[in-house]
Amino acid sequence: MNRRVLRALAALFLAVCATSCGGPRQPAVSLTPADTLKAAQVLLTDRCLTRQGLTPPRPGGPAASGAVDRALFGTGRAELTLELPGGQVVGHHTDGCLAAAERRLYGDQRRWFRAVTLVNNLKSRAPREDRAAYKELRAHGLTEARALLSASYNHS
Amino acid sequence: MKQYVSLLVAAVLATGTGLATASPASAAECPSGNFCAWTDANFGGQRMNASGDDEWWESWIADEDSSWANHGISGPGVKDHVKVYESAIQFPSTGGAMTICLRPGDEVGYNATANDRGDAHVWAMGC
Repeated sequence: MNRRVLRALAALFLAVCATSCGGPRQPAVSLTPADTLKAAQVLLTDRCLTRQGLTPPRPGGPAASGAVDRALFGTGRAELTLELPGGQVVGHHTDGCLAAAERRLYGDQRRWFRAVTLVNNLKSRAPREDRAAYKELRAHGLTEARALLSASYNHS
Repeated sequence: MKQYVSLLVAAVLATGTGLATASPASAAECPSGNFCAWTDANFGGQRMNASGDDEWWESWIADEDSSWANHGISGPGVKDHVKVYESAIQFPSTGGAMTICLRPGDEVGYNATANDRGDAHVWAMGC
């Protein structure tokens, strides 16, 4: 990710932090928690891909190469699987840059995968402990995301 | 009734999670930025790529879908989740029940009990 994009993302994040952290500045733009997580995830996957000499893809941008697809999303069989009550068996990789980003943000990727998959698809019908895990791990992810974006802004 | 449904869901998940259900034999080859649906299980057969919404799948894939993958690209303000619906989204229909919601990186190699239930999909900020 180039420095210009990085600064833009970090500036958006800091605008949110100014209010939530009790800072004196008024936010120019608010980043929702969901977008904060997405911004941090992109930061991490960009770093991961560029370390491998690959160009990170952008929404609506030129088609990425197969090498980028595999480096980002993983290869072979999905290592994590979960069967939903409707019968769909959802899989998710533990290899690849996206998986590494999830571990960095949420800590326990297996536990996050189960919680987020169930909550996304079952909503309030998801088991209570999985809904609790979702809240816990998402809060953890937000803390990590804010720290990452802030550190990135300060170092760029 | 709600309590019963929750108990039933918990029971199904308790038996389903962590089981060595057969993992897909092959990788989901799906270009970055796309949602893909295949006519066969385990990402085989014909493949539909979609970087945008498609509220009325073509007949060769509508209700013929057996595996899916979301390789959407994330970013702040970017719609990177995919919702698959069992019916086409054509007024007055709003697509019927949502079959599944996939976040980036999610893949569904097969459906043990309810195959071929996709007729439309939309991209969304979340599920």
